[in-house]
Amino acid sequence: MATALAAPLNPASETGAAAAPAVSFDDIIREHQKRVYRVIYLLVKDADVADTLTQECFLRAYRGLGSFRGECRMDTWLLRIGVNLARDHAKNRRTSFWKRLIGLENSGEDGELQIAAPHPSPEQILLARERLQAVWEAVECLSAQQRTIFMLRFAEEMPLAEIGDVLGLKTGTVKAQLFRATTHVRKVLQEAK
Amino acid sequence: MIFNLTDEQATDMLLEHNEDALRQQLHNLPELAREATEQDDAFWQRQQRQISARIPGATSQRGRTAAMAWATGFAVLLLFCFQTNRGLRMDNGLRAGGMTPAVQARSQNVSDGELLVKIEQEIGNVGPEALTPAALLAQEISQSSTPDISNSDRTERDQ
Repeated sequence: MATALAAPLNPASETGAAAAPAVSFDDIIREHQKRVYRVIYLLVKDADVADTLTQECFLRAYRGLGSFRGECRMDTWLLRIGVNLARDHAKNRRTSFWKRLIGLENSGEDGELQIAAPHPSPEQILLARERLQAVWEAVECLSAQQRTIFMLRFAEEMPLAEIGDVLGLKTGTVKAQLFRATTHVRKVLQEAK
Repeated sequence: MIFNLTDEQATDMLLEHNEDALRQQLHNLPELAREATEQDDAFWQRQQRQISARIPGATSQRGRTAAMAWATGFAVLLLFCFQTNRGLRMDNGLRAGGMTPAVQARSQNVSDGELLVKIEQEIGNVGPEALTPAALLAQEISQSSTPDISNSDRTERDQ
């Protein structure tokens, strides 16, 4: 496909590495879409919304490529966009609920992003999602930021510094938030036993 | 000993302890997350296509590429038509309009005369006996085709 997406991007501006090979935006999508989708899914707990937000994430990344100066890794930058989108989505859902309640918004999801058509999932995927549900319930009482930090740490196994890069926080703040999150989750899991 | 630690070191230790304890219970969380978001190739390809379709720059670039392809194809077609038309005109010109009737007749006469001369020469030089009548005939034709003054004078005198 000979598109602008397939055109090579300036490697130095992406990775900061002078000798990095030229990559196209299509390559970037292919390389990172699974991880971006997974992280967003862990935060929004909905496969279709995760699909839509993943598309939106890459769309925003394409528009913002000019502002990406290679200060962090490409996947970190993409995850930052993805996490922000997931946070905005959660906010929109909350405000949407109140707007619907006072009649400012239709009950339909008109204002929401378009949701992709559902696709069949194998039994194993369903089982994994059921098990994930237990984890989601355990982190339900955490703040959005603590929940995000917890998921990035335990599901994505990301280093604390990278979590800080994604969320725009200092590593010390990430540690403090993670400590509170882990203490809370441990308590919940002990009570559940 | 723990009283000598800074707040940060203490937090690090407690966090590490918490993380170790949770990892025993959540050790399969990364795998679960991967399984839960497992999709076939068609899903990822569709997602990629939809992203590409939503990027206006990519769409206009595709449009430009398509327009360029159409323009090139049209130009090639025009060139082909022009060449074909030109070839046909040249053929027709050679067959009909290219030479005037006078030129055609002259070339016909020239070729007939040359042919007769050649036959005459050949027959005269090495001709077999069987072709003697043909040689005579050729001689007669060549004489009749070139107007002879003495002949016409003789005819006038006979009359």
